[in-house]
Amino acid sequence: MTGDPSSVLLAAQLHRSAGNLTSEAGVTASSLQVETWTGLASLAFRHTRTRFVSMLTDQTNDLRSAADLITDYAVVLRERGAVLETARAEVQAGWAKLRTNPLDPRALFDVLAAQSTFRITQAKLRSDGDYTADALYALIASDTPRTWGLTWPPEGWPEPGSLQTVELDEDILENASFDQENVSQGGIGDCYAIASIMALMQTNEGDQQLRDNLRWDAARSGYWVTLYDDGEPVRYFVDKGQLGGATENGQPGIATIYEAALSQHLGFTDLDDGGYPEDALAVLTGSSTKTYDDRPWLGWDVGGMRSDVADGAQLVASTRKPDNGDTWSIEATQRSTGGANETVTLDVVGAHAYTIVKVEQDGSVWLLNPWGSENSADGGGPFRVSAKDFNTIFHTVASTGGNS
Amino acid sequence: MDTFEVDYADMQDTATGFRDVATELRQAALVSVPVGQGVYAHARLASCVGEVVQALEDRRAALIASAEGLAENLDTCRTVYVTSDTVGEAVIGELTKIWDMVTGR
Repeated sequence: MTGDPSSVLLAAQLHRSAGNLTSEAGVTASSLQVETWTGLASLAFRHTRTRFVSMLTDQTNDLRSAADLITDYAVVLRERGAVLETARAEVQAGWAKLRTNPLDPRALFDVLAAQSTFRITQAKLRSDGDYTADALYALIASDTPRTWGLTWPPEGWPEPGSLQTVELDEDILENASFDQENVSQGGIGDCYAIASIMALMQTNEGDQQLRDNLRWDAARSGYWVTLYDDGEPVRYFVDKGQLGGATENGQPGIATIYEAALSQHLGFTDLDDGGYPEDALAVLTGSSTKTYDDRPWLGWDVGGMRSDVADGAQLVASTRKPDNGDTWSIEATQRSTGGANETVTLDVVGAHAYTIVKVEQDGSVWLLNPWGSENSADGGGPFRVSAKDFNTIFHTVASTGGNS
Repeated sequence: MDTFEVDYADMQDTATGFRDVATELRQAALVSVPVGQGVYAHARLASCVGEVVQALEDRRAALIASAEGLAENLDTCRTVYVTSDTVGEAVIGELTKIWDMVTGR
């Protein structure tokens, strides 16, 4: 199934058209004043009118954002659909040749290559759809049924659910270890962000960048955090962390502060909506990011990944979703308490992100789970998965490499 | 006590304006948005679009109700003010008559 890009574009156009009409209604509403009216009732009216116009603006922006997101997906759907159609035709043509000559190696190669392209493109399309759905859900994340039946005076759309928070001390920056193994993701589903922060903590340069982009504001008792939007710095004020979120040695730390800033940047009520390491790395570092994946016939670009790690780049690997269950049970190499490497059986978590610590020449990869020390899957600390297991379990590696 | 002043025609025009806004918003409906897995080639996204359209439509309905509510309350305020003025004028008229009788004018 390759979808219907024209109908998707129509959906986008309908959202944009509704957004434009709502914008016009907003312009009309903005001009509605009762200039001559004074007294207390007039103040109540002006306050309500201002809130009403603000709600119209929100609705306009959300309709237009939805239109943009759906348009982007339509474009991707069309492109990937063309690739899928071509691959399907190549498979059929290859099979036709094989029926004529079952020993035709070129035909067999063509069929296998086309089948691989088909599977990879389908996976990418699934990923594109998930991204679009997440972003669309974020637009309506704060809506509740209480929105219904809103009457004058408008109560406004409900505030995003108030999250429980933790206090942030002023000495976090001063006392921070910047040790990635001290970080623990906690209960929020933002592995992609925490694994990216941990990747930065892997080098002195990364530590310095995290340090440089944090500033304690004594007057306001909070931290100014610099993140990046398309490479341009943007600053957020953070005076509280999310309860149950990232910690360092069990306490609020650098990762807690960055997590709260990312939440503001992404505009999420919380960070549980999932995301992509390549986006988190770009937001944290301001660098452009690239991704590695399991190329048909060529496999992973082990040399490129090794080179990126050696150059001090940040790399985060994403796992596939297992066909059965939530994890893969594998044999891996892990550092024992005595410091020696030993073979252990551990779980690698599906639909999860891991910080890449090192890539060996044989394609095996040292990883760190953002779940932190003593976690239920691997117990914490770096572990090495074989090249074979890496191929099976991981689908993408995001990297800031190539920016130096 | 605060001073009070208002132009009734101005209030009426503004109330009409808010009713026009409600009319404009009625035209901003998200109708016939294609949904379905066959369109998006992605079941979760197809379902998501349906939910988002519903949420945005709920908001639009709330906005229309708000615009009409603003207009209605402006009319109510104006009616109250006009009634007060009328009653006030009548009372003052009666008082004037009594004053005239008392003073023999």
